[in-house]
Order: sequence, then structure tokens, then C-alpha cells
Amino acid sequence: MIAVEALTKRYGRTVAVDGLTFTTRPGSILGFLGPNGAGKTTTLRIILGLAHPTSGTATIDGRPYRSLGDPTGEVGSVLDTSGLHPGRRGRDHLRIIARAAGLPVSRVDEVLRLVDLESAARVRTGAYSLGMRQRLNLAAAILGDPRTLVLDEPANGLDPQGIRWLRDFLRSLAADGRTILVSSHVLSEVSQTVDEVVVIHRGRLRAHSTLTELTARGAGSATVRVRSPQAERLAELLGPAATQVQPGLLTVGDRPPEQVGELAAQNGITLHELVAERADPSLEEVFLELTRDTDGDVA
Amino acid sequence: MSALIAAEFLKLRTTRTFWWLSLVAVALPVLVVVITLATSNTVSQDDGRSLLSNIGIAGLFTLILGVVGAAGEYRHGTITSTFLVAPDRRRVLVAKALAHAIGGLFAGLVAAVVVLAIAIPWLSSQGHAVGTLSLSTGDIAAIAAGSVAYAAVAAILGVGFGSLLTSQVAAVVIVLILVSVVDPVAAGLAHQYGKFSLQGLGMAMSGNSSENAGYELFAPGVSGLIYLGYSIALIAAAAVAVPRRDIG
Repeated sequence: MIAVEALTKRYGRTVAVDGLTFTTRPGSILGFLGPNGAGKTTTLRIILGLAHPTSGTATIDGRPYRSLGDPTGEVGSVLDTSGLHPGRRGRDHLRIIARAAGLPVSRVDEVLRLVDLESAARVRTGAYSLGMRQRLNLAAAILGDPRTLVLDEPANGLDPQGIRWLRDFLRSLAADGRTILVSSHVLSEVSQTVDEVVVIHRGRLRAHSTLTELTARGAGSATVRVRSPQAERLAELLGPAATQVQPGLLTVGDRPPEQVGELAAQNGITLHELVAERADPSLEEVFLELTRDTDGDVA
Repeated sequence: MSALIAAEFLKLRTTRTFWWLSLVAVALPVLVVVITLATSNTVSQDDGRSLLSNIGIAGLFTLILGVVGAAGEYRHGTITSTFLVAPDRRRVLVAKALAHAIGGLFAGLVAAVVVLAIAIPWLSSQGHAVGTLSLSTGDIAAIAAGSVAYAAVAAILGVGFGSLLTSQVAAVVIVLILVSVVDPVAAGLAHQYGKFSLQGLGMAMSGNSSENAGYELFAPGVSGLIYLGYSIALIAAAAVAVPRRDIG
């Protein structure tokens, strides 16, 4: 379990992470979302002991990353696609990690197979595509068979097939009971993969909920579509709640369809159509709303 | 710790940089020795000593090997996965220094063997069996051993520079300017400085005489200890600076 508590990171006068608190649930996939520059990477680097927090703590199973006895066996991570020496072969990159972590070379070949990279194992990483580099980094992350995974924008630069592959791959890892923290700046990339989301903006927590709860947040603004030859008369009766979309067609907000129908009947207005429409905003819209620039206030 | 040293050494062996720098570290002393033998008469003990101490040229390249090995991790971003596997950065630093010392030792050893394998028969064919130059086998062994030791500690010093500076290009340029410009100029201005300079210490370790250097040198053993002291001081400075650093 990853626990981030009151985490703050300042770079000079810039606040990258601002009092962030959240925890992952064991055995589930947590999407860590926010626009570029929201503080996601900084948070992940602090969790992994690569950067120092200004204040607050980040722990894995109760301990800071730097105090883990066998980090490779406890946490696997993918941080960016650049951390490879272009002159080194992919397999050698993994051999080095395996050697340092005390893992056998056979495990290297095993993970290369798992990420479908066997054919390029002996190619220098300078010749790798972005997708291949991402796969190699994923291979490195699972080398020690860790129970926790921290992945920063793993879908970045992947083509649609790659994203689909990644989705299935993460699902299979989670199915084995692993806890996964995966960041993204595009909700749709992870919406089919994650169980829960943490949304941050400008280093602050904006939401921590399941996807269903997140969708429900924006719901409730149901509207009623009314088609009537006397639309203008009905609009007058309904007042500001009604909007004439086109001649003979109204949308009514904040009123249940029953109320609209009864009002029409009382006034002898003929209705040709009365439809309740739930204007559910898409997840993407909720996400955009959460990460809108409303200076200062936290949702 | 031994796993970390092995990993660092594997890191070294799996890039072409190591092999190229090692090749140059061996080829250049050999080339200089061959040219010297082919173009001049070796008549005195001093000639023989200065000839063989060319093995020490390897040390300049193992110094750069250390710089590139340490700063290259920051350049390519591999330092991230290094510190993820081994979050204790001081241990990584020590492992890296030792792995590069082994790499430097290897390059220096090959340079020494090749130079001796060429120079000794060549000198004999010129009528200078080793003894007639009054360079004893012990002298030759001391020159070779000193040069190899120099190649090893220079690599450690390089790791210290590279870890502190992190910018690979800047680190290589600064080290080259220090050794090839600052040291000789400073030694020329103040002879007292010469024997403490990286260049002077390296020359002394690889068996050069003071006449050869143009300024007074410490004995090879003392020079080796001072050089090792510099290397340890730099690694110690890095051991303070590196753990404080934010990576990425």
C-alpha cells in the first residue's frame, strides 16, 4: 500500500505538490490524474525516494522507499522513457538491474517474454521505438515480481494497439493481487483500467473516488425535452427553466417531466413529445471541470 | 555490496564507451613507445625509464572513463533505475568507484603488458638488454605496477568528478583542462605545486624522473597515496552531495 500524507514539494517559489494526501487500496488500480504540470511526476518521484519532499511523507507498506530492504521485490516502477543508455542492449539493461537486485538472469528472459520484447532483446536501445522503450521499462518494473507498481504515464507514446496491450497487461498484473498506481493526463487512457482515481491539479487533491462516484458528481442536471405546437406558450409558463432550441422544441432544466406534463395539461397545451434526458457529463468533462483553473479553491 | 559492484561492472562492460576508452588507453602508450623506439636511440637508464613510463598515459583515459561512467548515468537518465534498485546512494557511489577502479586496472594492465612485450625485445635487439640500461627487473616492475595503480586510482577520481558535476560534457572538459592546462601552467609558475598536481602525481606514479617532469616529484609510493587521497576526498564530497540531490 502506498500512503502519501500531507506531501508538499517546493522548488524555490514554485509549489509543485501542495499538501497532498491519498492512499492506494491493496489489490486495486489507482489512476493518478491531472493535467501536465499538476505535480504527478514529482509526487511519484518522491514516493520512489528519488526526490525529497519539502514536508510530509510518502511510504510504501509503512516505510519510506529508501528504507525498503528489497526495493525491486517490493515496488516496480516506470518513470519515463528516457532512462536508457542508447548504446546498451535491452537485455543488458535488465541484466544490470537483476545483478544489483540479486535476481537470476533467467528472470530477465522471462520478463522479456512477458512484455513481448524477446526479438529486440539484443538490440541497442538507441534503435528502440517509444513503445519498445516503454515495454523494456515495464519489464524492468516487474523484474523483481513486486506487489506494488508505480507507473508514470505508461501509455505515453503508445499507439492504439500498444495502449490496448498495456491495458490488458495492467489488468493481468492487478488480477494477481498487485496494487498499481498509474498516472496519466488523459482520463480516457486509464478509465477502462482503473478502479479508483485521484485527481490533482496544481499539486492539490481535487478528487479521490471510484469512477462511478466521479461520474455521479456531474450528474443530476437532468433536462426534459418537449415538442409542442404551442411551444412558445409553454415556455412562457415555465419561465427561465425553458429554452427554445428551435421552433416547437424546448429543453427544460430543473423540472421533472411529470411536472412539465401536468402544467401542459392544466393549460390545454398539446404535447407531441415529452422526454426526460439525463445530461450525464462524460468522465472527461468531469475531469476537465475538476482541473479547471479556479484559483485557490479545492473541490 | 558485491552484487552492486558486479552490477556496476556489468554496466561498464555493456557500453561501447568502455571498450573504446580502454582501447585508446592501451593503444596510445603503445604508439608513443613504438614511435620513440623507432626514431631515437635509447642509450641511458633515463631514456629507458622515460620510455617505459609512457604506460602512464593510460591513466588519462581511465580518468575520463570514470568521469563518463559516472556523469553518463545522469546524461542518459539511467541514474533513475540505478537508485531505484539501490536507494542507498552512498553504496552505489562506492560500488561505482570500485568497479571503475577495476576497469581502470584492467586497461592499465593491458597497456603495461603490451608495452613491455614490445619494448623489452626491441631494446634487446638494439643491444640494450634490460641490464645494460641499468634498469633492473625490479625497476621495470615498479614502473609497470605504478602505472597500473595510477590507471586504477585515476578512474576513481574520475567517478568523483563525474558524480559531483553530473554534466558529462562539462565534466570531461573541466578534467581535461585541469590536467593538460591548469596543472602544467601552475607547475611552471610555482614548481612547488608540480608534485601535488594531478599531472605530477601521475608522472611520479608511472615512474618518471623529476628531470623528465621538469619539476621535483614525490616518490611513486607517496604520489600514489596523495592521488588516492584526492580520489577518496572527491568520492567523500560526492557521498555528501549525491544523497541530497533530487533525481529527475
